[in-house]
Amino acid sequence: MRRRSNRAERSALEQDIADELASHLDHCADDLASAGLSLDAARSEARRRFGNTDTIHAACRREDLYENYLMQQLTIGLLALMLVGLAFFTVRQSHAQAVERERITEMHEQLTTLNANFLALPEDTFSGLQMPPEEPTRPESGWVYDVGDTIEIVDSLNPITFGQAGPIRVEPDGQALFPDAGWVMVADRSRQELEQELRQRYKVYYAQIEPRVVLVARGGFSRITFR
Amino acid sequence: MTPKEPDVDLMPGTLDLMVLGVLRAGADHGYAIARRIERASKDAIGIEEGSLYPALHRMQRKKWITSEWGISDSGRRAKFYTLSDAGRKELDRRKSRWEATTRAVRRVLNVGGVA
Repeated sequence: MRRRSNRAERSALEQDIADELASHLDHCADDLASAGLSLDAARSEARRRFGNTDTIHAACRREDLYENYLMQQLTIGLLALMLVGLAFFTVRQSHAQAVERERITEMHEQLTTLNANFLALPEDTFSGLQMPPEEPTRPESGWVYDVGDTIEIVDSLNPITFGQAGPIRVEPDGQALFPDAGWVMVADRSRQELEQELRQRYKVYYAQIEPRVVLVARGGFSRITFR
Repeated sequence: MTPKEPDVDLMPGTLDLMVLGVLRAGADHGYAIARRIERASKDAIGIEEGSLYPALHRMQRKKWITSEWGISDSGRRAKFYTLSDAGRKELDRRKSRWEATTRAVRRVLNVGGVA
């Protein structure tokens, strides 16, 4: 409803300007005709003197709709600003994506080269390497410590309890010297058994402790049996 | 009747001042306003319609003048502009400023020995 009203107002405004400019031309032509020109020549001359009617009409319209014109300019300006911002953002994003794509391509090439080099290695390249010992985790597996094994003790509740202890070697008699707990038989015992005993021994010194034994290396000593 | 070219460079706002001054004598339409200015200046000032009509619409927007359709002396329909109270105040303000400016310019010319 309001839009229709605006359109009607605008139409009336356009007509008003057109009528006013036409009135000017008529008055001018009248003067020229009274000065001796024919009616047609007077009209033609009046139009020539007046100049570009459309330009003057547009200038009048701009003055009448100054606020609307300002708002229009502001809107155009904001839209232009938004478009520039969007373009800038898009360019920046695509540049970042291009850089990332290049980085990934480079990484892929490096990995491909590494893989090719790895596959080109002789088969016995890694035969001399020793893998770390397998951690005994399942009591039912029957795994036990042996003479010469190197182990470490840690407290699951407080890592600094045995912080200075370092590696502990299972001596030829099957015992190992633990901090505070003294000599404990380790050989032929599972991890659970050993940890159970250590828990009992450390209860004397610590209110809360959860000793865990970690195998560092398998040993190589010969067993000595004391008869 | 030949088309007139302005003989002088007008300072900004001079057209508004002249239109307001002409309208102080009474309401008139655009064409008559232009002719009255030209006659009053003894054809020294030519008013371009391209400037006059936008100026009239601008002054109407600023409520210095009001407009109303009527019949001119030649019996044609024309839009008549009338000076409003706000326009009268604006005219006085601009007139005193104009006079101060011309006095100042005259003084400068006298000191410089030009006039």
